[in-house]
Amino acid sequence: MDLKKDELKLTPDLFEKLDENEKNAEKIAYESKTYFQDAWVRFKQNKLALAGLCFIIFMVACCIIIPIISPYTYDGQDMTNSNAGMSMAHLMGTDKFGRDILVRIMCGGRISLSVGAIAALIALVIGIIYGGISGYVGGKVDMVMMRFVDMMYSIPDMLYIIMIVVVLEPSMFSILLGISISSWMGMARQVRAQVMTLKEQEFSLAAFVLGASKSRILFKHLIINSMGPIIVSVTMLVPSAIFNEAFLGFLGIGLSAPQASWGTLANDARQIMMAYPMQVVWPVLAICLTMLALNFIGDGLGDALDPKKK
Amino acid sequence: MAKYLLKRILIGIVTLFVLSSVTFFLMKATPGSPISSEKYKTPEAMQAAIEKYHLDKPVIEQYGIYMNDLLHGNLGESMVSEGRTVAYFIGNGFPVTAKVGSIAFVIALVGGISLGTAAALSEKKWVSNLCMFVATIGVSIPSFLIAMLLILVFGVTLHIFPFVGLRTPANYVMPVIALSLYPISMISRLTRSSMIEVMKQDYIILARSKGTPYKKVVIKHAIKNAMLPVVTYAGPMFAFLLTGSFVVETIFSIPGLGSTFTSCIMNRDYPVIMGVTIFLGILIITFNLITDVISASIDPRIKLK
Repeated sequence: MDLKKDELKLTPDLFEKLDENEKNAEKIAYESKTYFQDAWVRFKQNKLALAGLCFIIFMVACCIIIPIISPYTYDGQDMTNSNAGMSMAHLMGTDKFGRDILVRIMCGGRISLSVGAIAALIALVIGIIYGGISGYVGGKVDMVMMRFVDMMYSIPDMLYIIMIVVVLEPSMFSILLGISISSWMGMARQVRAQVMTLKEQEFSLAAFVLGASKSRILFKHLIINSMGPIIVSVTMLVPSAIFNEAFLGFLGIGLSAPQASWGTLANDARQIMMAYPMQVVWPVLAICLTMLALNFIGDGLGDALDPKKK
Repeated sequence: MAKYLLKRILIGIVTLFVLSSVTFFLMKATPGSPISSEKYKTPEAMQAAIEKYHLDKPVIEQYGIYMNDLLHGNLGESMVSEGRTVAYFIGNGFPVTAKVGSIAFVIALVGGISLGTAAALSEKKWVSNLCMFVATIGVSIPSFLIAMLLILVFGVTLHIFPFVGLRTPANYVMPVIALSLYPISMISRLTRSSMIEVMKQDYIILARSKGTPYKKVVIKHAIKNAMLPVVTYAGPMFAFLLTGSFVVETIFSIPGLGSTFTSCIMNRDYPVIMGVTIFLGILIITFNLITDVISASIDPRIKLK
């Protein structure tokens, strides 16, 4: 190519006008979105999941606001007005000590929902660290760590939880401890599987070549990239923690009176179910709807965060 | 196969050992002595009780005695009801629990598989939507709440089914429904997804193109191959039915192992709690082992490592 500059004359007739249709060929019409924005678009399309999310937001708001604005307290007894039915003064009636059921359910919701959320978070942290290390280090360490998980897994969680709560005496701390000890194993397995597949990929090697430390690769690259499935299993952990807590309340080893969670409320009402069936219905409804909503959210998130699944 | 079995049994034994040790030390860590002065009026009686339960010996020695007893199948004695052994409670309660549980087990299998198959194969969209709706509800609502709702609707309001004890066959209806609804939902979900997967396989298309009737293809080829996840789920389901019996039996006043366990928790009867926990642990671990071996042997694609 010994073409000299003066030999090539650029004249306007060498060019032709771009066709209108081709003008925008390179333009990306679809607005570029991050992973989570994209997931949110998919999540919104799932009506059930959206309804579940709205319900949970509504429930949380009620649990926070109603006890504050209500003239009643969760332990304020009024023996002259016990076991009252629904009325304007007490929207859900009163229990055998004349306490307002609506306020008690909302206060119970504070406890049940926070037990669910905190237990899921604890399980998440333990699971990420344990599963991350097991999956990233691999080899013998992984073998031993996973055999331990298998072992813990083969015993039903309820047995641990009951044992721990019985031994430590029922309290918020022992219930949380029991539930989190029994629920981190699934999370650890999930994280491990994710880390195992991701650590073979190029971006992990690239980070290594650039001199990133092992813990940086693990926590800043591998864990962040497996966030989708992890978030889905966290949303599934919340209802199971709420369930376990309610189960304990039902067995009579929940929080002690006058504090009450949904499980203990349902259990208290069970004893006078024949005479006042409505008192059972409210806490049962609260638990069922919340668990249903959380399950819908979990399913929706599963589809939204993992587009390959559908 | 033999190597795999041996390995699984070994892990099972280690698990049991850990479970019983943890149980023992947890119980030892309980604040307050189980021998209270309210129950034993004289110091002599109290001393006798302390010696009987070896509470005067160091913890390690107690652990040795306990483990030795355990190896000989001796699960100990109740501290609340005088003179009753843990084995007595298990012997009395477990047959009842097993009866209710096995009915629920069968119902869950039959109901779940048929629901899931219907959901997977039906041409009409509403059938599959309905099945999946039932499944979602069953997964979301805890068994004890289902039990209470059933009692409210069919027992207290409509008076259709009795709900105290187990005297007549009608007594079984509600506890069995309460126990089996969750496994039914799980099994129908599993069956549906694996059925959809199986129906796309080449051997189904081959069978159909050879002119095999649709019903025969479904029953002889599809269901058989779609059952693998269900067999794997049988282990967790067994565990679920046992732990579910704790509250369901209490609610329906069924004199089974579950309600015994619940009342022992209330009374803080530690030896019985410990003994029943270990008994359930043994059962569940054995059952898990059996399901693993079965699912591995019916599907040669699963490698026995």
